[in-house]
Amino acid sequence: MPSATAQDTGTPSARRAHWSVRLAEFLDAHAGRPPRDKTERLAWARAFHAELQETGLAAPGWPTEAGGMGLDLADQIAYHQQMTAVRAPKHPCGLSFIVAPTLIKHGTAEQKKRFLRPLLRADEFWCQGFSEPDAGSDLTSLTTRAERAGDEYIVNGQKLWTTMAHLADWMFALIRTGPAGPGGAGISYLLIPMKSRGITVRPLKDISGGTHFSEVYFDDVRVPVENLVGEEHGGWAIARTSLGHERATAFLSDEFRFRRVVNELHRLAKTSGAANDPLVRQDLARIEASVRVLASNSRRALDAVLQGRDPGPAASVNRLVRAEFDQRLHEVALRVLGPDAVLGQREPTAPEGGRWTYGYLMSRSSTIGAGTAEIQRNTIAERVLGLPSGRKQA
Amino acid sequence: MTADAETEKELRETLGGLLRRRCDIETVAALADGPESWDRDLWRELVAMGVPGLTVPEENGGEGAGFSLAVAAQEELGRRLAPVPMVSVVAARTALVAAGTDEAARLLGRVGSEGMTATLAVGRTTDGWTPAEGVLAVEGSAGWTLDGTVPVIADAPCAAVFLVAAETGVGPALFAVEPQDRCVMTPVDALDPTRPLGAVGLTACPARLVAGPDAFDDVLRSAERAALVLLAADAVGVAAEAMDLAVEYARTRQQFGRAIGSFQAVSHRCANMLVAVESARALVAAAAGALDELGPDTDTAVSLAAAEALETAVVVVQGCLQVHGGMGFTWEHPAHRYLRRAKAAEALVALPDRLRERAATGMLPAA
Ligand SMILES: Cc1cc2nc3c(=O)[nH]c(=O)nc-3n(C[C@H](O)[C@H](O)[C@H](O)COP(=O)(O)OP(=O)(O)OC[C@H]3O[C@@H](n4cnc5c(N)ncnc54)[C@H](O)[C@@H]3O)c2cc1C
Repeated sequence: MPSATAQDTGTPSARRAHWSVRLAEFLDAHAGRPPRDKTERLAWARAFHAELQETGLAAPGWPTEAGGMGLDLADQIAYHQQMTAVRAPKHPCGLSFIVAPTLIKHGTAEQKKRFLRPLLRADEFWCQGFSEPDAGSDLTSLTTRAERAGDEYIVNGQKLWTTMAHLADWMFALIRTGPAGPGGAGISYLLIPMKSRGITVRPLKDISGGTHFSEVYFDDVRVPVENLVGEEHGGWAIARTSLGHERATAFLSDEFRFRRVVNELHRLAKTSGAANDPLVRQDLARIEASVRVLASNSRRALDAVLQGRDPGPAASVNRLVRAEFDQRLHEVALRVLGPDAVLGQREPTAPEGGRWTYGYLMSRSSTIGAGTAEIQRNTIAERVLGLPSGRKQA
Repeated sequence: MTADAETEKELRETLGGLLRRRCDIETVAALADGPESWDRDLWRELVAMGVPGLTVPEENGGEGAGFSLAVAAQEELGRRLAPVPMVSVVAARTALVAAGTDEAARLLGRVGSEGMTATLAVGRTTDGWTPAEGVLAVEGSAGWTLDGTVPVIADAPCAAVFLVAAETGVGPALFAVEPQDRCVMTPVDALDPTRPLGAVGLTACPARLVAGPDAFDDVLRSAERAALVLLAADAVGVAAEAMDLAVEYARTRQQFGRAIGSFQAVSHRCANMLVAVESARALVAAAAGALDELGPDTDTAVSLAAAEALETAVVVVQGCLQVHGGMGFTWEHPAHRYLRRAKAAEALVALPDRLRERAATGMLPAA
C-alpha cells in the first residue's frame, strides 16, 4: 500500500486528509468562546466566515467554479462533523443558502460573480421575500407586482414574515410580473437591494418577544432588469427546483446539530434526576429514535442528490420529521425541567440560562415557517403517494 | 334545569360579563408586559362577588358553594387569562379549613372579610408539593421563627400571607408569615406572567403555627388537591378560548380560494379540540364533585382530571397557534399568552404524566 505523501492529494482519501487537516488548523486558530453581547457575536461570526472563505474552506458542497470546495458526500459529512464538534459559529445568515443554489444553477455569470463571494463571507445578508398577507400556504396567489419600465422594474406591494429583513442587504423575492395562472404562472424571481428607495421595513415581535421577522412594504421601488434570475415569469419553477437541493444539504448540518442538542438534553436529564423516571426514559428513547431516523434519511437524500437523482420521498419525509422532531425535543426538554418549567426565559436561576424555554417557544414555528406541516403532508400525499389533491376539487 | 345548573349558569354569566368588561386581552397584555404583575382592582371585584370564597364553608366566612361552582368560576377566569391569585388563595383557604386550628380560623376570618391574599410556600417536585427544602422552624420563648429560602412560589408577588411548609425537627408543619424585613419576597421571571412567581427569603422570621406535624400531611394534600382541580378548571377555560380563536380563524382565513377550515387537516384539528375540551371539562366537574363529597375515589378523580385538562390545554393552544400560521407566532397575537398559561400550569403543582401514574397507583395498588 503506498504511503500518503504530498503527491497523493489526487486520491479522494488523501484529498480529504488534506482539507480536513487545514480545517482542523483553521478551527484551532479560531477557537474561543462566542462573545456574550449580541452585536459582538454577530461580528465574530461574520469575521469567522470571511476568513473561512479566504482560506478556501467554505461551502464544502458547492462546485469549485462557484467558489466552493467541491467535496463528495463522505467528505461533506466529515466536514460538517468537524465543524459541529467544535461548535464553530454557524453562518449568521442561513437564508443565504437558499438563494445560493438558485444563483449557482440559474444565475448569469455576472450574478454569480457579484453575489456568491460576499454571500459566503457573510459580508452581505439575504432575506427571502415570498410570503404575503394573503399568500402564505397559497404562495402562487401572491400580488406584489413589478412593471417593466425600460431597463428597470417598478415594484409595489407588501411582503410579510420576512426573516432578517431588518438586517439584510438583499432580498430574493417572488414578484408578480404577469397574470396568475396554473403552475405559478406570471411570477418572476428578483434580487432586490434592501437599501432601495421606497422600501419600508417594519419589524414584528415574535412569540419570544424578540425581533426576527418584519413586514416589508414596496412603494415604487426601482430594480434593474439585470437583477432578474432566469426568465421573466419563470420564477416559480426556479424557486421550486432549488428547494430539493437546498433541503438535502441543509439536513446534513442540522443532523449533527440535532445530535448535539439531544446529547445536551441527556445531560440535563441526568443532572436534574429526570433520567431516572421511567416515564421520561420513554420520551428520551423516542427522541433518540427520531434523531437516528433523521440521520439516516438525510444521508439517503443527499446521496441521491449527489448522484443527480431526485431525493424523492426521503427529503419530503425528512422535512416533516425534522419539523416535528424539533418541537417534540423541546416538549420533552420542558418535561425534563419538571417544576422549573414555570420559569421564564430571562430568569437568572433558570437551568442553562432559560435556553430550553426559549427553544420551546421558538420551536412552535418549526411546523409553520418553512411551509406548514399540513402543506408538507399534502405534498407527501399528492406528490409521493399520488393521491388526488383536495384543493382542486372545488 | 336543576337548581345547581341554574346557579352555575348565573355565575358564569355574571362573571363572564365582568371579565369581558374588566379583563379583555389588551388589559391582560398591558399588565403582563408591564411592571405591575396582577390586577388588584379586578381581584377586589371578585372578592366583593364572593368568588374566592366559593369553596369555603359558611362557618369559615365563605360562600359554602363548593368546588362544583368554583371550577365554573375558574374556567371563566382561565378563558380571560385573569391575572388574579385565585388558585393560590383557594388552595391556602382549603389548607386553613383543613388545619382547623385557632390560628387557621383567625386567618380565615381575615382572608374572608378583608379579601386578604394568601399563598402556599412549599417544596415543588414533579409529583406535587412537599415541605420546603431547607426551611427550618425553631420554637423559642417568643414563639416560632423560620429560616431558609423558598425559591419559587406561585402568586408570591400578590400574597399578603405565606403559608410556609417548614421542618420543625419532629416533622414538617405549616406556618403563617407576612412579608416584612425578615421575610423578603423577590419576583422571579415567569414563563406565564399572568401567574407571577416569587422567591421568599426568611431570616429568623416570626411565624405562627397553623398546622402541626400530626395534621400536616392531610392539610398539605387537601391544599394540593384544591390547587390541582382549580388549575385544571383554569386549563379548561384556556383551552376553550384557544379553540374558539382557532375556529373563528379557520372560518374566516382564506387560502387557495376558500376558508382554511374547509381543509380537513384544519377542520379535524378543530373537531379534536372540541372533543378534548369537553372530555376535560367532564373530568374536572367530576373531580370537583369528588372534592365536595370526599371519598375513596377523590384522589384518583382529581389526578385524572388534572392530567387530562392540563395536557389538553397545551395541545389545544399549540393547535390554535398552528391554525393561525405565521400570525399565531407573533407577540401581538394572544396565542402565546394562552400557551404560556397552559404550559406553566402543567409544571406548577404536579406533571400530567406523574398525575396519571398517581391515579394508576390508586386504581391498581402494587401487589
Ligand atoms: C418564524 C417564521 C419565519 C418565516 N420566515 C419567512 C421568510 O423569511 N420569508 C417568507 O417568505 N416567509 C416566511 N415565513 C412565512 C411562512 O412561510 C408562512 O407563515 C407559511 O407559509 C404559512 O403561511 P401563513 O402564515 O399565511 O398561514 P396560512 O397559509 O394562512 O395557514 C393557516 C393554517 O391553514 C393551514 N392550511 C392552509 N392551506 C391548507 C391546505 N391546503 N390544506 C391543509 N391545511 C392548510 C396551514 O397549514 C395553517 O395551519 C415565516 C414564518 C414564520 C412563522
